[in-house]
Amino acid sequence: MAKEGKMHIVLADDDQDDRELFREAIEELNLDVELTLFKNGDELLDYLHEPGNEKLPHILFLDLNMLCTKYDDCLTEIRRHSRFKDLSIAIYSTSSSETDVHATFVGGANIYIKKPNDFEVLKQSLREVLKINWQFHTSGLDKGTFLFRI
Amino acid sequence: MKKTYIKYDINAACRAIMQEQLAGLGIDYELEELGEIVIKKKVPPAIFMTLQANLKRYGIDILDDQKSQLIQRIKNTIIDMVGRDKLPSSKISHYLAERLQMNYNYISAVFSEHTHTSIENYIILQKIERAKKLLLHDLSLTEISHLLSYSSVAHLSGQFKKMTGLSPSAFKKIISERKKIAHTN
Repeated sequence: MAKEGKMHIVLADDDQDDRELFREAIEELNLDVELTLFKNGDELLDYLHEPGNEKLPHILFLDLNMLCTKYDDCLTEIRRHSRFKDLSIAIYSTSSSETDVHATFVGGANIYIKKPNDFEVLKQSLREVLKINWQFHTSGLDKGTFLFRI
Repeated sequence: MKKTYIKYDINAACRAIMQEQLAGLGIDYELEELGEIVIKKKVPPAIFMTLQANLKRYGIDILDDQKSQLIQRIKNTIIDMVGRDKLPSSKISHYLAERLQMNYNYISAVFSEHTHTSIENYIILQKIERAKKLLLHDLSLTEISHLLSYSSVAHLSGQFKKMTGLSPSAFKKIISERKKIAHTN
């Protein structure tokens, strides 16, 4: 279905089972994607800050409660840099607390996904998220007001 | 530090950039509506590549395959339509077919095949993008629903919720809290 180029997706999650489920769900969507996985926030930030890494992913999925030893909070650390201003960040979390949702949106997240228990629901949610994110990317829409909760 | 706001006309800005760049390279051209350019004489490949590189700095891409050109024309026409103060009163499929001088079924099929979305959804997306801007300019939902030709506030709120997962007021609250934080930092 993608004819406007390959989609580059990054997931940072410290739970191995969740990473595998995510990979499987993405694979079953049959989209033209390249997926990169990280086990914690430190690995992710090292990758993003790597010198010469000009090409940012089209979307970054962040587990909200993931380990990150170098910084208090991955989201804040990423949004602190203007280079990542247009990077779409999707919070991928087991929490559906309104306080968490509101706080992460205010903190700079674009998307909030509550991790579903059902694999088919996960696939469907990811499909929705990737589709809408792709529109923002290919039509140059304002990422500053891009908010999506699912 | 003092923050000043600017207002810009993206269309005028793009035209000015195109005029500057094309004239600067000595290319004989004519600018038409909605991102179309007629290049009158053959341009040597080296100059064309320079033009491509120069425009890239401004986020402007030259589309050279037919299908991408058509998709961009469809998108530009939709953006233009949604940006007007009143949406067309005729059926949107008729409106697009007429503006693009092409059969709607064909336009719709090419669009769906290449964009991860459909024309109908793309129109909703663009309308909600405009609704967001108007909300942040403090227009009421009633005013916005008139401007964007929604039959009711409930219909507008429903589509807003579908496209963002948030109510218009929750959306507005998040953006204004973000701005407050940006001001205090």
